[in-house]
Amino acid sequence: MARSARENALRHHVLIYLGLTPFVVLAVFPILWMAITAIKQEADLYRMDTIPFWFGMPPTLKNFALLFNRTSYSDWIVNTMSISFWVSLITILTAVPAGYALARLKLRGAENLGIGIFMTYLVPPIILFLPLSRVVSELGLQDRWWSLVVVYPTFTIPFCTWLLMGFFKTVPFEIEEAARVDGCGQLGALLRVVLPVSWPGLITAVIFSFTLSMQDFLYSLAFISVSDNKPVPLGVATELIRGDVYFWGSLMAGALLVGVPVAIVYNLFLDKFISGITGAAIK
Amino acid sequence: MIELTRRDFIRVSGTALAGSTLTTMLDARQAPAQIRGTTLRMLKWSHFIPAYDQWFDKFAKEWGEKNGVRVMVDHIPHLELPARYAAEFAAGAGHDLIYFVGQILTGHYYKNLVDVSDVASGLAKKYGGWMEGAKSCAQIGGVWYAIPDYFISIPVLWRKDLFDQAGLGVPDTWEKLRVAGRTLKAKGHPTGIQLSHCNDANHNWRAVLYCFGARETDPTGQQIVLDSKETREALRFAKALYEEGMTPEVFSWDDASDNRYLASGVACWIHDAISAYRTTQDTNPEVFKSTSVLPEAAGPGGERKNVGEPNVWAIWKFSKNVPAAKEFVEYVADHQKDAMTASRGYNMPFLLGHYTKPMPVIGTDPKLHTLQDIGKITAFFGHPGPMSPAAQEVLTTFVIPDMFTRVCRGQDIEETLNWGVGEIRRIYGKHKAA
Repeated sequence: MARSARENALRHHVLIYLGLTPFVVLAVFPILWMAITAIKQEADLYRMDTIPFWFGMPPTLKNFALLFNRTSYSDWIVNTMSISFWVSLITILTAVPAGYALARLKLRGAENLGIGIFMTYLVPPIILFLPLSRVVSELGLQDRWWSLVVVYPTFTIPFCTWLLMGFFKTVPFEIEEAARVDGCGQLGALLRVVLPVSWPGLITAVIFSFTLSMQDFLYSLAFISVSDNKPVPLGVATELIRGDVYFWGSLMAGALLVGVPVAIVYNLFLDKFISGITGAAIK
Repeated sequence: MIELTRRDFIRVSGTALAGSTLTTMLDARQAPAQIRGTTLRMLKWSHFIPAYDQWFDKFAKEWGEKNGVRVMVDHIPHLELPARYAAEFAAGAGHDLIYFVGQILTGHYYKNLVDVSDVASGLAKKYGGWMEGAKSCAQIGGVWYAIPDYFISIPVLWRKDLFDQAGLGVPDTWEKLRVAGRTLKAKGHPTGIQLSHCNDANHNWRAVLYCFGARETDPTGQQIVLDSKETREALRFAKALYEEGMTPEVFSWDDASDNRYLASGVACWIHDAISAYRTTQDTNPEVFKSTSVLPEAAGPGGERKNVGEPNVWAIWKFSKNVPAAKEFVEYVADHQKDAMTASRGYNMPFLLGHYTKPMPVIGTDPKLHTLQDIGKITAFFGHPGPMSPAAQEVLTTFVIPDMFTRVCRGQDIEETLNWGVGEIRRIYGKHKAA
């Protein structure tokens, strides 16, 4: 009987993993392809007599060498991380009070205002970059990565405000009321009670603002053309694609070096991220 | 031994002295003092040869040091340039000197560009004039708002070894290219031209169109003349070429796909810039050895028209350093031969004086030397009309490649032609009304 239960459990697991396999293959294949291409010799990419998913010629680190020795890749990484850090900080400092106020202060029209704020996230950058060019120029930030720190919050703040609004609604009012009874003011209750129990939501907002900042291409293209000031997505795409010639190996190496560490960090907070997303979604 | 008289000696040494003095004077040509201590910012595309960009950046920096100008050169891919220009235009600030390639936006922005007729006429005087087509990408209403730098030629790159094995001769006509495609596809070596939305599709199918004698507009650019017997012939030919010699992957190709097709050893021929030839040289030396280059194939009436890609300089009106920008553009034109060497023969000059043979790189390369005459058969989009904003919109909306794609996918030729001519009329009508 016990064996049969074990067999059932085993069969159950096998079926689950079999069902998941196609999704895992779909999700992992691009990363694997990227990794293989990053260490393939240029000539190997064009060989038709070998299996494209493996090596026909010995692997090489030349693509990485090109990336670090002949482009400003190190600067691009520093720029990307700096931009993402500042944008995330500005976003959290703005979206937390905004989301809290809209979710918990029972303001008239708060719900509609929240939807309105989220709608601004849906305005495509292709429309916004022209008027924002003027702003960037007036601020004297053209061709400096600080211009992106000014611009990116235009889409991270609306999204994170909306996300945090949903999350703050899930925090029971009683906890906050108890804090008020114990002598906390509105701000004290937010800082000492609401935020500590909301940190999955905060982590989610940080992850979103960080990754949204890392993914942008159009704004960085419009505002930065100096090589040393470019973030990674702009740098690799503008300096490793030359006319109709693509430096595939180095392009993949550049994407891999930034993508994999971020994916690992993302996974470290996966549980909090899921609870943050679902917490915001149920209200 | 040659005996020199005193008179001969004086004449020869005098000529040599005068020549070297002139060279020194030209080399030491100083820019006006007013540009000293200024900054010049320019934006170019990322040239397909990284070494060319390195050469250019150094060249620009050295010019700056010689003239006391701080020079900054930025590079981004040609497809991204229009977005950047839109941002700079909106901001009213940005680079002093800009560069049009892929999309020639002279007609679009000319009201915000500096009149550079003085530079253009000076260069024309110095180098014996501009080649045909230069005006179309740089002049609006007789005024030069841009200075042509160089153009990219798009020749036929064909595999001589495969052609020889199949008993095929030099593919100097489109008909021979079609036969080669059909013959060699059966042997595992099809051909391919992009039937998609990319730059190469615009050049290549226009080359077919023009070689067949068809035109989009009349020379004034006012009348649409695409609805013709020649266009129908070109479309019919393209359908046969696709069905007999290509595979459906061409519907998803981008600008780099034909490069890979050649470098992988699959293609029997492609119609592309010599960047594909150079890529193959670096990645597949065996295929490179047997790849030959032909400036252009002839249409049924014997006409050859190579549709090139112009590259032009322009100066924003809001530029803070117009004098330095003008000086620099002139200096670049004076060093066109060096640019051609650094670009491995890719940069073809617009100024007739630079066509003295042997030209750098291509003049000494037995496979490329025929490209020295390609300027004579080069046309640009909109030909024979100007590259007006309307012609530019026809280019960027891919009307011509879409016509070829529709026919290759099986749509009726008359129906396709009606659609294409209608689209072009609509675009030209819109611009005329504006």
